[in-house]
Amino acid sequence: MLSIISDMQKFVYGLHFSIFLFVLFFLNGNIELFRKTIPPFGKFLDPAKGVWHHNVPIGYVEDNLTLPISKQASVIYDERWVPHIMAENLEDILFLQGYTEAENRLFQMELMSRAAAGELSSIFGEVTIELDLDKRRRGIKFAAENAVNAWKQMPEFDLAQKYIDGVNAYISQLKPEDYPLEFKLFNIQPEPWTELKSALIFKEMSLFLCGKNEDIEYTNAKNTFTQDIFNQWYPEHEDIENPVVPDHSLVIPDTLFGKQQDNSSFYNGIIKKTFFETRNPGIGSNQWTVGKSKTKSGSNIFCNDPHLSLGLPSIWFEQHLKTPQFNAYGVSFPGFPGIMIGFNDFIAWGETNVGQDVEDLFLIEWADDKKNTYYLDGKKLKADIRIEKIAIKGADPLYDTIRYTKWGPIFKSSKDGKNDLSIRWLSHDKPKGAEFMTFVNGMMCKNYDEYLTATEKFQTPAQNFGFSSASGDLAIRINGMLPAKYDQDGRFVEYGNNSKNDWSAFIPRQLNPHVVNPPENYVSSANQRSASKNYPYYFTGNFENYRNKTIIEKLKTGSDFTAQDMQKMQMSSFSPKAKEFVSVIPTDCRQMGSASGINWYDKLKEWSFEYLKDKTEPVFFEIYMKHLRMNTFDEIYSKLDEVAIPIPKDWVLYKNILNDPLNEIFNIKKTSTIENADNIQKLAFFKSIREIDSVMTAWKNLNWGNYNPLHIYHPTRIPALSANNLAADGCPDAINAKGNSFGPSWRMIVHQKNPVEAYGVYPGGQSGNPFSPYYKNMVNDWVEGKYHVLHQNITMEELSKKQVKKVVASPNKVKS
Amino acid sequence: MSIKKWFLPVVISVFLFILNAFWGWWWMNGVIAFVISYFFIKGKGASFLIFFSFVFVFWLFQCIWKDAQSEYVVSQFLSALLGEISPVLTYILTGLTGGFFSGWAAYLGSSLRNISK
Repeated sequence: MLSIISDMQKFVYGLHFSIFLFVLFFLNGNIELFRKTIPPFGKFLDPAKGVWHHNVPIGYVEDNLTLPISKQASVIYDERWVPHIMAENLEDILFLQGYTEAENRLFQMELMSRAAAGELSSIFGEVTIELDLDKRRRGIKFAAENAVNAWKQMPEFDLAQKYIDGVNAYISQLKPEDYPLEFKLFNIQPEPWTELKSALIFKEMSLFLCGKNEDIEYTNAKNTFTQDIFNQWYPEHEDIENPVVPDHSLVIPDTLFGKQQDNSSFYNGIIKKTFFETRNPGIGSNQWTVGKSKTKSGSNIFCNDPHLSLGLPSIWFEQHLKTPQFNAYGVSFPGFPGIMIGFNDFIAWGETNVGQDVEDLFLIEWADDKKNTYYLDGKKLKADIRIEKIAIKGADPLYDTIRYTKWGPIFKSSKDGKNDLSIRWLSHDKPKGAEFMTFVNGMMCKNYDEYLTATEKFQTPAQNFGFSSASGDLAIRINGMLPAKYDQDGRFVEYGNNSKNDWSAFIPRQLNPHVVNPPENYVSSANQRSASKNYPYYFTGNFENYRNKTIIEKLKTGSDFTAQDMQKMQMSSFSPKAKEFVSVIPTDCRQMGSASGINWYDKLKEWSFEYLKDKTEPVFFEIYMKHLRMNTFDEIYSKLDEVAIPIPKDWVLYKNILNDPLNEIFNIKKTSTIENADNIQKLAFFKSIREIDSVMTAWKNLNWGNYNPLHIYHPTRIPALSANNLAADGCPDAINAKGNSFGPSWRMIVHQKNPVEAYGVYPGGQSGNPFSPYYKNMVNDWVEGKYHVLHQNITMEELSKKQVKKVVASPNKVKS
Repeated sequence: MSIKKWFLPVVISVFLFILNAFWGWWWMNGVIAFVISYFFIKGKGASFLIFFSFVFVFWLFQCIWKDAQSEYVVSQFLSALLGEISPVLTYILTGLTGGFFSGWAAYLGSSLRNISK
């Protein structure tokens, strides 16, 4: 009996112990449930080393470090947590830049490099497999490996290595309790930083800025409509254009590019839906400089606000880098050395995206059923096979076979299996120069000649490089490699069985559009076409059509500008598109009543066309534009489930309402009557009134701010780490180009007086630690249009009054 | 139970807990609880209660103290992360996690002692 009880006790004990061990491993993050990633709650809640360890004590902090630098240096954080990094030479500055960026943004850097490499599933599990497959098939890692192989052969790479060493110096001294919050949440460890990771971040930005094409969409449009309809509804040029580089500044070469259009190279069928659809095109950037004759002070004012995806932490990291040789201030991408948008004592610099198409699709003709060989110029060529292993947290790895042809990887495949498209993307090419040094060399320049030399090796993504100097020069140069294409080349899918369809040359760099000290005494770029119709090379891509007009109008007509005027201009929410479309709404619409008693016709006519957060007019106008597009382009919308076709641009719609209101596109196909532009506008207005009546019933306080809120997401999209549902002014067509999660990611104004006065703000905070008071402390300021003074010429005495943290870095060995 | 029997486990546990705060893992509290209960505490219920209470209070105190240093942003974050629960509940949840785990380990330690005797 005793023995039975004892056995029972042992059994119960064993059961208890087994459950206990299960709970232990579960709370430690070693067990997945239902193929879901469960945070390691025990480890995470541990007061000693878990989440509670991330408290940031309030008050001044001082730290001493011993690092492999050549001379003593310091990093002083000011009242907004902006590091002022002061060292004796460039090598030490780059090392400390790497160290400081890692200290503040390590998870962001790690995640961005993993996202580019297609390795997110190793952290997040199955939910990110599609994203990873997209990156693998696009060949981002392949592009980064090509870049690294080339970079390492260049003597300048030693300097980039200093930055990488700095990142690794920070990582190597981290204890598990010091890992950033997200590492604990997802139960991962930081890995050593490598040149490949920096290259991946660079390629991720290339993907964002120049990794777009609409070849499939335009091919389908060309092969769906008659040539006349296609030309009328998908024109490439506006009647009146304001290119970044005006005609009088264009360099016309003696010998023009000789390749002629060859329509037979374009695919003449319809391509059905593919696995990876077109990306969000984004909404661009603004940059302008007003010269000294147009400013009140007689000094240039340089302005830049790049519009990128907004996130927490921000894609930008603000910093001040100072040595006896230079004194630069601005923002960088964490993970990459130098300052991308900024200023020093002599010059200011910044960029907007060029948007030229550097990504073309080629239809592959396979020579065997297994798709191992393909035809090119009548010969069979073997495709390179790259087997990608995608590690998935909580599941077996996935293996994806990706075929590489002469053009690049097979990126898109139609869902019916008939069309495999290979991608020719400029970012896959091995760089020919030390592009990684562009923003390091650029921040040290003193005049335009030096800046031209410093940035000439930049390859892709091509950017409008804006420049202004304290001595009064102002310029914009379209910088980067641009394929020399024949007319329409790259606009449509081409046959991949003929090597003549490849880009045969690049536009010589000296012939890239370029303007210096124009007579109008201002320069600007807002992602519109960089060059006019008269530019001798075919220029195609995705360009902006409204913001640039507002900017140029303001710069052209204004004078005696001050930095405060520029701040107001960057915050302008005026939409020229709204003004145009409202001006042509038929007067009959005034008779259409609304259940709320609001006369929307009168309201729109009295509207200032500003997208202000407390206004309802923008809401109605957006609803109206939606119905206007859907009723006009009913023949396209009805096909979108099966075939991707671009919706013609709004400026084209407006032009046709004005000039060709009886065009057949305005006719609604499913009705027995023939509609024209007037009918469509009235119908859209009527439907809009019905829709807004129901919207106003559902929303107690309807306005633009709460109807179209801004979301600034943490990469994990965890609400507690994000800033969501922000009511903000702006719209994509305004200078203050706000989208749902896009917008001016860094507003900077540099008034090049002596000493320089500069202002800036971005929607986020300097620290990547969500518990830091500097994690999202600038979000509200950004929403409200407030700017901060950028302390570039601050004295040590003034800085010591503002400092909240000081790090003194001493060399750990004496360098000869 | 005499004072002498209480004294040693308390001294050892305090020492190990302090050591654990600087070096160790979150589950070390459980190991300590298991060991002490095995050697010194006969009653399973008593073992559970002692270590549950001790670690509950210990973790609770630590997280409140650390949170106070940063104006309570950690509890506010956890509160938002866990679905807008009260920040006070985040302290209690933390204390319960540590307390329950250690209490259970102590219960197992004491049980093993009873079975092996």
